[in-house]
Amino acid sequence: MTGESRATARPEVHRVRLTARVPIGEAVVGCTGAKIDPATGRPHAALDITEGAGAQQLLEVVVGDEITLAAGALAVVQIHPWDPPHTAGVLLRWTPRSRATGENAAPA
Amino acid sequence: MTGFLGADPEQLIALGRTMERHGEGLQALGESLDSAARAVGWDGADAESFRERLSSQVASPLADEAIRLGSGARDLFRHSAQQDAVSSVDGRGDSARYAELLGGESWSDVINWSQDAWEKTPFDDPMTMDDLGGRYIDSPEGARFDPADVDLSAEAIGEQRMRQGSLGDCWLLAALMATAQSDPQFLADNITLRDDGTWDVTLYEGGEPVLANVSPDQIARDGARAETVTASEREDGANDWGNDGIGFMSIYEQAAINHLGPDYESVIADTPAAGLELVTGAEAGSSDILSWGGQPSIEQIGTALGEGRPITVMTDPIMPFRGDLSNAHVYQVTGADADSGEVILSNPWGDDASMPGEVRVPLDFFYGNNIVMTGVGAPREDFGGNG
Repeated sequence: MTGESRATARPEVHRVRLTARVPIGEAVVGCTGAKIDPATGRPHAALDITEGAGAQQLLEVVVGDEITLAAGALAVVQIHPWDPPHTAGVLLRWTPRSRATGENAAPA
Repeated sequence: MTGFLGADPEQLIALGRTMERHGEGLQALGESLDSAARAVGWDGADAESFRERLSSQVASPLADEAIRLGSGARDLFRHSAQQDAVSSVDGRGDSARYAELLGGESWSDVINWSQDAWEKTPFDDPMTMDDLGGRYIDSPEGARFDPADVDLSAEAIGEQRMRQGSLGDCWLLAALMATAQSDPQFLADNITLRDDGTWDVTLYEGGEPVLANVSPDQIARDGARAETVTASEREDGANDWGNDGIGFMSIYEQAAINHLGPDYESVIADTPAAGLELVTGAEAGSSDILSWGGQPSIEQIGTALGEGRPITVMTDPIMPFRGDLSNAHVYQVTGADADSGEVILSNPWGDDASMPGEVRVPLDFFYGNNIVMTGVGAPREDFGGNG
């Protein structure tokens, strides 16, 4: 989002449904997968993040991961794996830069 | 239609148990192979490489299949439970039996599963206008919006590039993309701007036309848009949603919400064929990995596209994550390259994500588990249903 940033001064929680995208801060975050990891038996998700200035990334995340973006940090609060008829996707907490801490999640 | 609707619950349960058993068998097979490979007295780079490939290419996919079979079994148990409930005298059925089959889900969960899905956690709560960025007309980019400025000509509809927003309605948007490729005039004819500044949109229910009225103040800021990718965006990989304009897809999306209602959840997730039928009014063929005839061949897809049939496909919800295909996502099929053996898919997300807007899927992948469901619409001359 280079034109109209949605940046806010306070932490926010965003629901990103599987296959949908949400503007968060100066980024657009999409959920391209949410399922049970057969290796661990725990939910994991794939996030497609576009920030501009060439910053595009596809990350594989689990609950507790923190993702550092140019304008702040995203924490993975919940992952709802694909399991119809329940809703699938991820719950993310966005903390603007002044409050952000944490490290990048592992690339997918 | 015959006089019988529904299924024999016992047969559904038997099939579910078979799927469950074979799923467990696949899981055990993968684990057994993995263990056997690790038990072999073989050290070094080649050994590690072999074991990693065995794990990622054999054991993990087998585990994925096991999950798929287990999920399918639970789905059958749910259908059986609902069938039992509507057939029983007191409308309750055997709750203990299904609680066991469904791994602890209560009888109430089974009967009211769709409502319960929204009540489970705040994540399941229906999306609100605020979740979607508020009203478009209140946004900086929508402040001077005039409905008359939206170009709804067939030419514009044929050229506009889809950009999905914050709703998981790819099944609908991909159907709009496919129909726009087949017959943009049909879509243009089905949207009318009224004198009061609202639009009337014709959708179809069971082949019958239904009119949905859309007001500009209903359109959410983060809904579907006609994508604009500027040179600078393309150059630096930016993703400016603010310059994506209201297009035919924005109006159609809201029309579907108003028609299917009562809230945004009504348009989240459905099958490829459902989208094609809602938009075109004509019956669409649907096939999946369990279909007797299998998925269409690349020749059949090419022929169908040549006949002006809109085609959409859904990807596997639980396949390993990929960098080019989203899980559980519906794509438009824009072409079939028989020479290269590839099907060409267009992503409703558009071109401004790290996932590519266009994906060429080799035939082997198409028939593997990456594409699990295909919807093939009617020829364009049959659009319009019974209306």
